[in-house]
Amino acid sequence: MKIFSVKTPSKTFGLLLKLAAMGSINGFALWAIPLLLRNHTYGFAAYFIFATFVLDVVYFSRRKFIPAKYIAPGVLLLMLFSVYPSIYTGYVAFTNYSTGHIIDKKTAVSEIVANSYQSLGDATPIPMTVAKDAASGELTLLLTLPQVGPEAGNAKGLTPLAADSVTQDSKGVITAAKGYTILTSDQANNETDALTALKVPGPNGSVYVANDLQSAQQEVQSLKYDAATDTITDIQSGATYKPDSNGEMKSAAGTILQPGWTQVVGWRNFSYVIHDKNFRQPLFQVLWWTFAFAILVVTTTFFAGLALGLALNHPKLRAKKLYRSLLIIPYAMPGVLAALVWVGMYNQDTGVINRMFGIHVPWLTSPWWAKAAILLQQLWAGSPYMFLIATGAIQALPSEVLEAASVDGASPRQVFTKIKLPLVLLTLSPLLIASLAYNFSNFNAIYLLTGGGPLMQNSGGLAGSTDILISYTYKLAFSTGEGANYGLASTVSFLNFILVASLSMYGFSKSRTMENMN
Amino acid sequence: MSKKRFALASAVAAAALAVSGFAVPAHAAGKTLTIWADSTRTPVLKKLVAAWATANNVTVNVVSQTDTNSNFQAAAPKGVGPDLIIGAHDWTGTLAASGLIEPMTGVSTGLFDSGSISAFSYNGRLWGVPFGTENIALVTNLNLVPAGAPTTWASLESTALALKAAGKTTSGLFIPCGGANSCDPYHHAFLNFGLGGYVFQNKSGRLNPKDVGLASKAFLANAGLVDKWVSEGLISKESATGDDYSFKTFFTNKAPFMITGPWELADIKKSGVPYQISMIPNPLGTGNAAPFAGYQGVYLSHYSTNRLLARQFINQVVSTDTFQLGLYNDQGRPPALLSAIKAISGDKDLAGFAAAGVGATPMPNIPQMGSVWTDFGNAWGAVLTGKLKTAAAFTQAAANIKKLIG
Repeated sequence: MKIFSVKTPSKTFGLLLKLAAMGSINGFALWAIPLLLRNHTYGFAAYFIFATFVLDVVYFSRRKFIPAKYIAPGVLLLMLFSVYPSIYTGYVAFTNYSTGHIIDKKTAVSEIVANSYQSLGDATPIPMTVAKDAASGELTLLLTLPQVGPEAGNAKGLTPLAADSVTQDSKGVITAAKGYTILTSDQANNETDALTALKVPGPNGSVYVANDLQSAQQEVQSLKYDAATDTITDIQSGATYKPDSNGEMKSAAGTILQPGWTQVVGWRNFSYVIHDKNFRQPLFQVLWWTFAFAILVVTTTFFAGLALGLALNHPKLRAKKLYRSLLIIPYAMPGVLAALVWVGMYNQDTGVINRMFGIHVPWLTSPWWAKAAILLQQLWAGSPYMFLIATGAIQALPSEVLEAASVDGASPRQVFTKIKLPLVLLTLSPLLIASLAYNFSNFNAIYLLTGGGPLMQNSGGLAGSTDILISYTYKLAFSTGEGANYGLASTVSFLNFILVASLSMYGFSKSRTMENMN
Repeated sequence: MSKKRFALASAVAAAALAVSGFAVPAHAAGKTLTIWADSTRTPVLKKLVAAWATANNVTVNVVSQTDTNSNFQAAAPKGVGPDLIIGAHDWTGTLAASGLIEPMTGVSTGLFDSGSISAFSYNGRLWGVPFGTENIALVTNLNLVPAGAPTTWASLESTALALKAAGKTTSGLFIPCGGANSCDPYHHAFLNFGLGGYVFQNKSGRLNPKDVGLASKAFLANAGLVDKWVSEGLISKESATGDDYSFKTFFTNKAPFMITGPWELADIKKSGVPYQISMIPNPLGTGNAAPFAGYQGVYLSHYSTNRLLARQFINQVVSTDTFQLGLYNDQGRPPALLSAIKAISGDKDLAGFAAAGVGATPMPNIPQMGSVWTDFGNAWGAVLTGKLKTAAAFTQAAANIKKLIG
């Protein structure tokens, strides 16, 4: 009875909390799923139904899924925010998604045909009123044609309107016509898609098309699409355009019609990475520096952090908390801001570093100094983090072991190299591996400080001396050929992912062996 | 037990309905037009569209974007983009080639500055309606050069060098570029064009991406002049060793001349330095140089569900003096409509920019231009820092660009 009375309040509170949380989740799903269905994003709708169902079962079922209660939310979020983007990137790597190829084929073809309508002669707008046939309800353009007069046009053609059956304003715009209901501009605007599609046949193969809600234009079509043969034909010259392997309509003479469309191109992006000389040439240097950068950043920041941790852990040191708080500052500073400040400090002429020492080091413009500049900045930015985790690891060292060592007469150096360092490394190795993986793709560190520069000689004009794989990919994707190439960028990201993942896996399996030896 | 479970389930359902009840999306009634613009133009656009919006009973939403171009490219095909975007003319090729914008119809092109129309043309069609132009001009510091702006390159050179020799200045002609590593060649390009170079060959209005002329024979023959101007200190090296577009030297009377555009006008006025804006003398021969020119205009999304209303907006709002002059008053960029240009002929600064813009080179609007900027800028960075001679730098740049375009 006593136990019951103690436990009940917290249980009720927990239940309320659970109900509130689950209610919000279900409410969110109820709100989101119809919207997703309406926007035709069926994949996400299915995912939200699945996720909500899983969560409801896990938390309300009579069976107690205790482990699932802990991991289900995390796994569901991981699927949404990590697994899905990775799979999508993998998919894009096999497509030609790039400038000129970002819409689907159906839209591209209809656009090529629609854009082939060109205005005839001078483009003087024809006064137009949007109406509906009072009898059939068919959408009709009431046009005041120059030198002809008022006519009603629909998909079948033009019908002259008797002068006494229409009312026109001073500009010739028809404001009323017998047998037709004039649409208000709101109503006309709601018919935009139908109006754009309406081509009223005119003389000599021309058509009248609505130009805006009040005027029309006489236009002539120059390209037509044949769905049966999947070709586009030039009406005048008779030239035919067929889909090519790169997702665009191409004539026998090699003329390409824009826009093209996105399509799966198989291994083409991968073979480009391997075979293209411009890409491959600087790749070796970029790869070399990627490894050097990641390894050097992790080792320098780790040893700097460890040294600081050991020094500030000394029992006789005063004001430890103050030092520790001060050391956190670089870690707490927004990285973008810090990088910009460093760019200013590194400036060869006006930068504070060169001025302070009266030197003239080309920090950001010489290939080797730029590398040094990046490592130095990363040391500053990264060591506080390493200091934090090293301090934690040092404080967790079993004191009896250290005491035993000093009793056995071990020198401080021996205590450090034989006991402290191996134990700290053992604890921190997963973190170091994660840090290594992170730095392999540390785009910000490079891009904000040097932009990958200075430019490497004979690099095809893209790769810089401080570019790592990911910043090189960025340049490659966004400043080559004809605009952005997302497909190629995804391919390189995909390869980068494989590199990082296999390194991490190797690292983790190594550290597991270390643990087992322990 | 089952009663308890029923209570639990109904509680969850109640909470669920309560949450979802808050979030029923509102459906706008009537006609709506959405326009994406950059943050500097958004406030003035809101004012300029208000009258038309009320008169036509249209809700016009002007939405500020940090990166209109790439946001539009991502959003438009998904059907969630705007009806219209406000942007620079050099987006034309990329947007048109990707099928994201509609060709303009029913626009009386004769009413516009011809340069602005060709700037928005691609593959023989017009894809945007211009409302503003901008190009760089020569700004002379009248404290240092009381006689006024030079009209020939030779007098610019002799004035600048004499002042430097007398120890009055530290810098000659300041041309911004933003640092050797990220040098933006926009301001320096007039030297390339003046000495016989070009980016893409222009064949009756169509640019040929296969003919890159940054290292044309004519340019290479004259390239030594650039080396001379850099080494004697006529062309300031500052912009390549500094890291920003700082005009400090000009504002502190340490440079007699600089090259900049109308966007810097407010700062020039604020500095209190007496100035004159004029055409940039042609570095070779007579007349004025042909700097890069940029144009702003409005594009119509292919995915707009209000295409016809949007075209009406373009014809009734964008193509009017009121709109173009309204933007000019706010932004200080000359309009594109000829009648509007005439209306402001009394503006002395503008007349200077207009004189400098005669025969200017519109920045190429084809997608391949994306392959040009980096190497073009790097070449200037190398020349200004003295790493490479001009001829070598541009030979290398041209070769790189040709490789990138493929």
